[in-house]
This record gives sequence, structure tokens and C-alpha cells, in this order.
Amino acid sequence: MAMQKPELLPEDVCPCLRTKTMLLNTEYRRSAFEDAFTADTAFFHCLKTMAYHGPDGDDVCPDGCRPGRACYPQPDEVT
Amino acid sequence: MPKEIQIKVGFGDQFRDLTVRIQDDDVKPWQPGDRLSLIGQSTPRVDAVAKVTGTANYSYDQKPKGMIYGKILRSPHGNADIVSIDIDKAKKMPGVRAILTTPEIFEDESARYAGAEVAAVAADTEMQAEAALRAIEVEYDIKPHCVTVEDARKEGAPQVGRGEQVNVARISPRQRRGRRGSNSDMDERLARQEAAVGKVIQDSDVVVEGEFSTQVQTHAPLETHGSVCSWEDGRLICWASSQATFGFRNELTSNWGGVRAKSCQILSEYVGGGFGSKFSAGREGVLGALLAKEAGVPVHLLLDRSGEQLSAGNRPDSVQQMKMGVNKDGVIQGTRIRSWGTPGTGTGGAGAHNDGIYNIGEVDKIEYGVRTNTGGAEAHRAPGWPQGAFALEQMMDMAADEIGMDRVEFRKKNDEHPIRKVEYDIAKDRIKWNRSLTRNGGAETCQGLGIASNLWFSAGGGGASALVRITKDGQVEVRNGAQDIGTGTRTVMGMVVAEELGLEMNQVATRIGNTDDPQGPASGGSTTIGTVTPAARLAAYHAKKELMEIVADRKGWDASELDLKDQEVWRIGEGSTGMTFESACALMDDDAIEVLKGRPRRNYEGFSDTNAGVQAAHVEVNQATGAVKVLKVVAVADAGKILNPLTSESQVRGGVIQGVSFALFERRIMDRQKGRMLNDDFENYKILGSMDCPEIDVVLLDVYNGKSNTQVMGLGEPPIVATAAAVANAVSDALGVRMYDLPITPKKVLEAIAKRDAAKEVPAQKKGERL
Repeated sequence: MAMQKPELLPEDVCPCLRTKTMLLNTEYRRSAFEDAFTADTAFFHCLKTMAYHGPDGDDVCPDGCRPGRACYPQPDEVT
Repeated sequence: MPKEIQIKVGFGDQFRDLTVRIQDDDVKPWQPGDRLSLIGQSTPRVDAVAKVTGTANYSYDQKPKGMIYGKILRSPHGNADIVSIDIDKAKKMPGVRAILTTPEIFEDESARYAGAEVAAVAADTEMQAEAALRAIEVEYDIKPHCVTVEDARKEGAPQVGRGEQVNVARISPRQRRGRRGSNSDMDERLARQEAAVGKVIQDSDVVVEGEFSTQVQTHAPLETHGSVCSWEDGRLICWASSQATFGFRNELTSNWGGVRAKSCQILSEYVGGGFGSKFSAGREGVLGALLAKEAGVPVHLLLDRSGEQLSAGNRPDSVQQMKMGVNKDGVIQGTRIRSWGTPGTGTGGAGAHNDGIYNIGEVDKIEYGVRTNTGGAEAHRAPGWPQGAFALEQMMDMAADEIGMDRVEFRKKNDEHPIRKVEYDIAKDRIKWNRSLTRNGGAETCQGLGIASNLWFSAGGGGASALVRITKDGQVEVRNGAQDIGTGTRTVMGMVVAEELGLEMNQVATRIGNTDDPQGPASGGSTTIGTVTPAARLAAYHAKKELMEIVADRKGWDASELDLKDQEVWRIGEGSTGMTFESACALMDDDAIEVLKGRPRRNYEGFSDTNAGVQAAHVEVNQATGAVKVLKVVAVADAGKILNPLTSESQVRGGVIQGVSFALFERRIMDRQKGRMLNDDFENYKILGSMDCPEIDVVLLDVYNGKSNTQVMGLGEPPIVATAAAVANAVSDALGVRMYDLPITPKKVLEAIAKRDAAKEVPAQKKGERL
């Protein structure tokens, strides 16, 4: 049952990133999700902190939650 | 393979024929003139009695055997880091079963606002849990704070974030981070845009401008956030107050979350409101699940009202500067927009949709998010729209007045939506737009009218399934795992299935809010009914086909000539065969027919991709006290095909009520010195009450849009978009002076009156302002 990574989450975006649009089953979900990356009313949170900042204290956002960030999950974290 | 069908799309007297390609197993959308017995009829909610008599079991009401209570310790400081947490004394307190700390669970040692979670306790009773919270010793590194946009924007303001985070960030167009995109390219593009639009505005016949502000509004659902969690043989069962049962489950089962349940069931049979704040399990959801795991018994962890007001979400505030150039023929040439808003300790999400309804010419728009030491915002019923509409609609009136054009005609001039063009006239007629009122005179009370518009854009979509089961003894059930946060999902799903099967409402049982049932959508973007009902209708249609094939086989009839109507088997074009539905079901060899069908992923080509809406408000203002009374709101709404006028009206009324409350009453009040919210309760956080509620005149337009087999568009959010804007315009109309800030409190009204009266002594200075 455990979901490895939400459908349509861009390949290198952190799997801990969540936003409402991921849950909306609209026909335009792909574009809506992509829009969320630039939307001015989209909120993003981290599954680890359940807050708008990640474990490193910096903001959760599609541009920032990418490989190279200190808290980006390592492959061996996947259970 | 898709199949082509001919349908009629449109509304009122505006219908046209359309050839559309639909999924090959889908059923044709209902057409004008179809004989429908339930669809389009006002039908009371099937759970209405349970709700009003208190027998409906919400998550808050659950009491599984052995249940204990969870409570959360919150930081009292405006901004702090947690240095240490000593739980030794608390662990020894009577009744205490489990204690968790947030640095341990959430990898977070910051407490960036007064109300941030620090620890959680589960104990046998609520009082024992609260006593244990008081025994937890926390050492904080207290930092300076700022809790308002005004303070956070000041040079040298205390830093809200950590590391290199600044307080103010451009969120639209988004400031690029890391390797993605170049900010200098964007800065240059924005500079060119500003110059170009600035020239367009300058060259216009008339220029109007203003700065508008709106307040933070908390979601304030009657049922607070949280859940009752129980682990049974390794499986986590959560009775959750959620507007996204499957999303909630995903967060608790994800490999990267704090709970990582291997198996999980979410139950949300009844939900006491969400308004956009209940998509995530939240920290309270994670803590509840982990406390239950550690304690080994079920834990009830739903927030108290203070926790709800502090930490469970809010609508960001806004400061919106707008400048608009208009020609004397009424056509808007260009608009410059700058806005700032705080979503709490982050910067994203605080935008305002002030450019989406009308054609406002060339647009130069930049939005900024402002970090403050306050509880985090969440999506709030039409995120960004009510605050944006407030500013935009004031500007529309100011511009219309400046060029001497009727305010409605000015809107029509800059609006191409085919449905809204009709709705304007309905709203004008119902509010008596041209009536004579006592405005801006010497009388103690004066009255005014205001108008504003909605826009929405969702017809639902794929990813949802429904299971329809017809038993040999004639029982019918439809299941979908989505929740009902007030949309009337349970009722409308039952109506759709009953209609398709030719049954009465009471012959169909509906089960929702259970993730063991077929996948359902989150209730967001006003998509729930538009997503689940096409799946329910499709499943019912195919279940009916299976039943008709059984009947045809047994009776030697042609199945393609059979249908179900009025609880009997009919021959199409001839009438009833005399066989009842129960008799048909009795012909089954098996115990039941079960059909699971997914909603077609794509919506079809239809009449319009957006729905509209217009609202008009009539207010009375007491010029001695500053009190505003909203006498009436006319809400003209469309949402595709109206399946159930009663529940649809209910959605519109709810939106208007919350909108009037936003216009006049609700606001988070922060203590700038202490950094704390002062009204984290329902005594001091004023919400519209029954005596404040206006007459609400709902007009629903039935639009055959062809987008799906039920043709439903979103209705949960659009009705709140226009209300505060219409009320504010009405107050300005009554007083003869513009209202720039929400909520419109008596103090602000009296200040505006004083400003108006003082201005009578000197010529008007500010262009665009009616004085």
C-alpha cells in the first residue's frame, strides 16, 4: 500500500514534497500540478517535518526540494 | 475507442448542437427534455436527520474500546528554537501512557510562532494529559519576532526564518532557486513589462488607483483537525476529520513520512467542515497515530479550539496596490498590480487573484509573500479569490464612476463570459438595481447596492471509481471512498444511481468516507461532485445493463430494448412490462451484480470550460454607530447541470455566509509585542451569527455543458469569491466614500465618514475616488 512517490511528481523533486494539487483527480492534473509550481496560492509541505520548511530549516518548494539539498532523501532511505 | 455522439449544450435560450467524442463505455449526458424523476429535483440530504439530531458520528465522537486522550504542548513564544525538552516528570504523572517530542518526530527544533507544536502526551483522561503537558520542561532560545506584514517588511525587521531566509520573497512570477532558471532574466522581463504597461495606463483617458487590504481569516471549522487512531494487528485505523481520505492515508503510509504504516484505513463518514485546511494529516495526525502505537491503545487527538485557531490554517492577508487605465468608452486598457501577503512562516501561497475575472487589459502584476511569526496558512475556500475580488471590484466601481458609466454596464463591457452576461441582468433585477435609496445624506442610516462577480473552472476529472451492487433481493448500494465536507456527496451519489436505475431515493444506500472502498477525490478545487457522480452513473448504467441481460435471457426479450423506470422494467418506447425491479433482481442466479467503474479521465468538449456567477448586495449603514447590516444578497450561480437544487443552494448560501463574515467580522488579531494571537477562541474571533445573516436569494442556472455524463461543474468555492467585494461596494455606495480595508468594522466606517465629511470642505484630491 505504501506509495513510493506520488504520480506525476517530477523525477528529481523530493518525494517528501506535498501539495494539495497532488490529491485532485482532475483531468488536467498534470498541468494543474505543474501550475502549482508557479501558482501564487499553492502551499507546499514536507512529509518529514509536516511544515513549510524541511529538516534543514529551509523552505519547501519545487525549485528548492531537489537533489543536492542536505535533507534530500538518500536512496538507502527507501524502505 | 471513443465514440461520437450528438448532444445539445447551453442554457436558457442559448443551446447549440455539438458532436463530441466520449469514452466508448460511457453513457450520454442527460439532455434537455429527458424525463428525469430525481435529477433536478430538490432532495433533502439523506443524512439530514442524523446531523440535526446529533446521531451522526463524526471523528470527534468516536470512542473505540480502551481509548485514551492525546494533547499537544505548544510554544508560547513568538519565535524560538527548542534547546531541550525534559519529559521525566511528565512520564511519571498519573495516567500518562506516551510522550513524544516534535524535534524527535519531525526533525525540527524550531518553534517559529506562538502555537508551534513542541510535544504531545497521551493519557487516560484529558485532564491527566493536560497536567502532564504542564510538567514538561522546555528550554527555549527565544528570538525576536514580527507578526505583521507591515513589521516584517521594514528594513532591519527581525528575521522570521532560519539560515539565509529573508522575510519578503517574490512569489509570482516565482523567484527561482538553485539551478532552475535565471532571476536576472526575469528581473529584466519584469522591468520591460512594468514600463510597457505603465505607458498603456498613462495613455488611457482615465487612471484610477488604490491600495486595498484584507485580513487573515481562519478556517474555523466546527469540527477541529485531528483523528482517533487505533492499531489493530499492525493495521492503522484512523477516524479522521479529513477532506482527503486517500491523501490522509498516503501521508501515513508513505515511506518518507513519520508513521510509515504498512496498512491503513481512513474513515471519515461525517466531517464537520474543512474549507481547504484538511488535505494533510498534519502534525496532529502523525502525533495521534504514533501516540496510539506507543500507548498500545486507541488515542483521541483532535485539537482544542485554541490549537485549531493557532495552527490549523488560515486565509493569508493581503495588501494590494492597483492602478488601472480606462478609456472613456469603458474599455480597460491596462492594470498594474503589486501585492503582499503573509502565509505564516513561509512565503508561498499568499497571492491574490485580482486579475482573473474581467479583461483588464495589459497586466503588470507582481506578488510577494511575506514571512511572519504566525501560524501557517492553508488553502482556504477559493484560495486567493475573495481577497483579489475585493480589490478588483472596488477598482471596477471606481473606474466606472470616473468615466460616468453604470457600474454593471462597465463590467459587461469588459466581460466576455456568455453565462455571466445573462447573470448580471438577473442580479440587477432581483436586487432592484435602479431603485431609489437614501445614500450619503444627513439621515442616520443610509443604504447602498454593490455588485461583483465569480469565476470557477472545474468539471472534475478522472481517478475516481464507484462500485454499484444490486442484490438478488433488490437491495442497491453505491460506494466511493471520498468524504462529504458539506457538498452533499452522499445524497447526490444516491440520486444519480437511483435515477439511472429508475428507483426511489430510499432504495439506494450510499457508503462514503472509507478508504477500503473505491478511490475517490480530495474535496478540493470544487471537484468532488463533478468527479464522483460520473463514476457512479457509469457503474449504475452498466449494472443495469447486466440486469437487463439477465431479464432478457430469462424472458426471451431483447436486452437492448429494455430499461428501468418507475421501479419497473420498461420496453423502450412502449412502456412498462409490468415486471417490478425486485422481480427482475430475483431472476439472478448469483447473489448480486457488482460493477466497479472508473470515471473517464478526460472531460469532454462542452459549452464552457468555466462557470461564472454574479452577486449583488444591499446594505444599510448606521452613520452614527458605523454598524453595517447586510440586508440582502442575491447570488446568481451556475455549476453545469444542477443535480440537486437543494444541496446546490446550500453550497451557495454557505459561501455567501462565509463571505459576509469575511467582509464584516472575521480577523485574526496578533499582539505585536508578545507575538501571540489574541483571539484564538470563538468568543473573541467573531463569526457571523444568525442575527447577522442577510436574506440570501439564490438563483441557479441549469447549464447543459456536456463535460461529463452528469455535466457538473464546481460550486463549493465560487460563491464566496464575490460576496465581500459586493458588500464592500454596497457600503461605499451607501456612504459615498470608498472602503479600502476588510473587515468593514464600525470603527473603519466612522473613520471613512469623518474623512468624507472633511473632504467636503476641500476639493477632491485623489483621482478616481468618489467624494
